[in-house]
Amino acid sequence: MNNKYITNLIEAAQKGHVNSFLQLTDVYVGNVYAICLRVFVNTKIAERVTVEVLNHAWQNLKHLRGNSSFQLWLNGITVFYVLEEHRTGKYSAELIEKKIITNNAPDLSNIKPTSHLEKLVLELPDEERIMYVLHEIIGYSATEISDLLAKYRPDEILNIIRSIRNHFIEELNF
Amino acid sequence: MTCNEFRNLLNDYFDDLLPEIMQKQIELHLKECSSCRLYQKKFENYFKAVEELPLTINPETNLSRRLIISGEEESSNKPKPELKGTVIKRLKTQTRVSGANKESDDKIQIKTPKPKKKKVQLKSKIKSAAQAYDARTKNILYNTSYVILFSLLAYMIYILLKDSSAPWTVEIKSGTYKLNGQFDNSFKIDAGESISTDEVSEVRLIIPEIAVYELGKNSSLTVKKAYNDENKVILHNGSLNVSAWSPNAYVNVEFRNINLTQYQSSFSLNIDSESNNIILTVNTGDVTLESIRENLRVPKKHTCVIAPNNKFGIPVREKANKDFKRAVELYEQGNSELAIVQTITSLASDEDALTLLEVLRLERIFFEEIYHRLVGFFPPPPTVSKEGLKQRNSSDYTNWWEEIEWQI
Repeated sequence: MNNKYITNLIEAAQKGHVNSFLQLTDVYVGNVYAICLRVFVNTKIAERVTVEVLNHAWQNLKHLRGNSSFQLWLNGITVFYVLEEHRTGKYSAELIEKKIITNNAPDLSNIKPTSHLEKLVLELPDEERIMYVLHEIIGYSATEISDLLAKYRPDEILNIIRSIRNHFIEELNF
Repeated sequence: MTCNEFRNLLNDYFDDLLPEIMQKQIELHLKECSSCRLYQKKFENYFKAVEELPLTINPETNLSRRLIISGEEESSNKPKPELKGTVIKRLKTQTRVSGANKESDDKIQIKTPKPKKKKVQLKSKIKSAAQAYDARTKNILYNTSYVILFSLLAYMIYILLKDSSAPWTVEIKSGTYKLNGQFDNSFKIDAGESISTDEVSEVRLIIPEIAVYELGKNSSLTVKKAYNDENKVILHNGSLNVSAWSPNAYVNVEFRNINLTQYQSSFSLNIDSESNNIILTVNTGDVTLESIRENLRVPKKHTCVIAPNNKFGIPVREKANKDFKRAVELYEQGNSELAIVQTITSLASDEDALTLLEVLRLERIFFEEIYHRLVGFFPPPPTVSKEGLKQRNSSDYTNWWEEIEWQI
């Protein structure tokens, strides 16, 4: 659910006020970018996908019902785009073509992890990192992740998450 | 419980996957075993570190600016405003030229009157020209109407094909299923078709990239709408789990003249064949129930029982205290004495605010007790008045709930 300020911005944006939508993006762009950056570990791809998510949100704002949480809705769009990019590599291919990046591999050189845990997350292999971000950080269930990835069973996902958890607990020396 | 069992179950415990009785056993073991307490502490520290990970990271470049720029690029593809001026100029010039011609024609007619014979010839010419014109107009009208008709037909076919999310894929989890009353091997279901399972079978109806409907044992449903942006089934009996994740589509259910609308949620519906109650459990997102008489929003991790007369029960948090749940159940059955209300208020936590708010809406005698408990958790915003709440003013309840929900 949204507070009154956000509800008013959403209502104005739904009527077509671009500035209200830009104010909304100012509030939520960090959330979208954080998901994208943790999944792609590449600032350029994360920025490109974030822009696409926000564009999609602007174009589909009419689908958002008054009583739904904007953040949850935006999270849903972000996860959808992140997985689409993971499957197709559409936006990274576009960036490679424009010579903005040379490849779509994780690039930690421009990212300063805020904690040891963050660094460990960013160093995970691609699919494990996606599962970890969706489950541990955004809060998706193993069944939901299984439906989204359409590749692993929920029990397989839980096993992977738990082995990462155990590995992190050892590494972080709690 | 042994230490090994404890350690094996600890992940399930933290993932909220254990039944209440096992959770209590875990908690009991923790009190007794110091080494497991240490082990559990490591997990707690880990989850604390995960919680402390920033939920927002600000990009270095101003992405909002990039949004504006992309908007400007789009608008630059549209016809430029100067074009309008050019067109107007051209039109003016044409008008001037045609006006000049008309003037000169008039002058010629005055100077050289035409002979009578020529007039007769002219009349017949005009007549034949008019007939030809009529025939041509008729032809054009016929042709145009055919073109419009075909275009409309083609457009309708295009819309139907473009917007249809059907046929959906049927995936068997166990047993077999019947499509429109007959055993089926097509593994497809279209709008208007019905599917049923027996006591050993379960199926999944998959709308690619949009949602999954999971039909339980001894259940049946009919697909009512199957468009890319709106999908709907009518559940006749049994149980149904729904997981919807597309940001562009609604995945809804109708049952017993109740409309269930939701967006990017997962929830389950279970029609109890004995009591005829319907149990709705929302796992993620939120779900809105609409009947002729009332509307109710059920948020995630809440359960709501719908009575056979379609009356919506009070939504209760799935993990709420057992005695609290029982007290709410008794209250719903009409036991609204002080002891029950006191049990509800004393056992409620801030996460049970929706339940308290719904009890408040129903309560007349002990309104003050519940009101003060709720105020203790979340003070009402200025838009909510106590008088309005007492008078069952729905906007007061909605406004208070909105204020509470974003905080929890």
